[in-house]
Amino acid sequence: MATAMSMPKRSLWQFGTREIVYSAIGAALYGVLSWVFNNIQIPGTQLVSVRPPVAIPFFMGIVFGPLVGLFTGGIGNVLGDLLSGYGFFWAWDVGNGLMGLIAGLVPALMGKDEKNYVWGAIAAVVASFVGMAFPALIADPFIDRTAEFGAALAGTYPAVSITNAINGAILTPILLYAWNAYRSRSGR
Amino acid sequence: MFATFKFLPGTSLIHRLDPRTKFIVIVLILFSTIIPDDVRVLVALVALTQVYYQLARLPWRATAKAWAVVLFFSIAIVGLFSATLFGSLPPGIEPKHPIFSFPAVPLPWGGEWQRIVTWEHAFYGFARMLRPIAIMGMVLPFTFTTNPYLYGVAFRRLGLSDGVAFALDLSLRYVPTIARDFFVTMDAQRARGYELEAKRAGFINMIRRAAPLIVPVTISSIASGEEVVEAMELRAFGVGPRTWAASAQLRMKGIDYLVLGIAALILLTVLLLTNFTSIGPYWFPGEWFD
Repeated sequence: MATAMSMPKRSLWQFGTREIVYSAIGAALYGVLSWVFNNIQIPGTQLVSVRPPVAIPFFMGIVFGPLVGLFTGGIGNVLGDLLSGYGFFWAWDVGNGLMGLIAGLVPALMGKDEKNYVWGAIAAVVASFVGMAFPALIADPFIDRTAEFGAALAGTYPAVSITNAINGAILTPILLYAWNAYRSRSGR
Repeated sequence: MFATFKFLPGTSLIHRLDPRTKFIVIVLILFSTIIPDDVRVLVALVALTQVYYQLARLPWRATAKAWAVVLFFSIAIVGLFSATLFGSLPPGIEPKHPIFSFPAVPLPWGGEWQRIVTWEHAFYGFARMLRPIAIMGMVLPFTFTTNPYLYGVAFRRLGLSDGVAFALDLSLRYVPTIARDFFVTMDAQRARGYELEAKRAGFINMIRRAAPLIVPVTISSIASGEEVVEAMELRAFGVGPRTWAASAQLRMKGIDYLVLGIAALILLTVLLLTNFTSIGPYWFPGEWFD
């Protein structure tokens, strides 16, 4: 039953019961939606290559905090790969987790909340470019040593970060708007 | 449409290993593949990981798609395109045995640049290509032989906090529910006239068309989470250490310690070879091509 109580201000780094549950929900959402859009043919569309689910870690990080965003992106990416039967690629799981973490930090550090849709889009763009730098520019070339830094800088990195940024900039404000509308109706 | 993990129950040696063993072994072998650049060492690692993979007795049709993806990535992207055609060599290695040359490209500031692909590059590309193949030989058995509902308790026993391990466990249990909700939402949107076929197939429009599918599932899933939070708090979750009922299923046996010992020995051998012998750093048999 909805109550009229507003949600108390919580620490940015708190990871209590609420954060545990929303981390789990966020990770499952990201995993399932990634699996759906990567593997299931949505009739008549080419959504397979567009990656709209990437907005989920951005949204969860902004609304519920950077630790929830970190878990949503990292574990959600693992779940998506497990559902698809691909195994998992640790660096890209970490990168997706970093995207959720940074998306949660950007508006908080700038003193903006989830009602500021412009900052929500900005957070998604910043998180995309910073988060994807780890797997594309650091882990693959220098840790796993499966890629050339120059080729990653010119090819892989801009491809994944720009795609994620565009998806996040469009869908994250939409999710924030829907969430705020739900909260105002339910009195949370 | 059901969202199911690719876990295949079985009785192979790998199935009987503790999940913690399988995870630690992946990490040890991952480090073993990162250290050397020597094709001989990496070929040996691929052979060893294939022995581990074969011990899992996974049906080919279950893993074919994963192998197709990793082989394409390894051979075409890593080995051929990234390393051989456009990659650089380790410091101190001079390219002396050309295979072919790209046409010279004039530079805006004068002069020209020409890429010459050599056998030295090909050997380095081959070495890089072997790393993801070796790792996939360890990762796929973990994915297909480990019950996903043991992940949470396994990582708890590895030292993760109750909260993080429980979040992992809970996320796995949410997967079928959210998958069902997604397909119900998709059918409901179609019934309301939402057209999935893109009339104007621009990139931005394709992303916007995902919103009527993603937003309802996301908001309804989060809304239902409030009840779970309240139920957990009423049961004093987090006040003390959590009892993991599945913990009794995790017992390290002799075979676990044997496999861990072998993996540790492999890592130690690679470290010693690379740091104290000529086997391990980049190797190129120049005499084959002279």
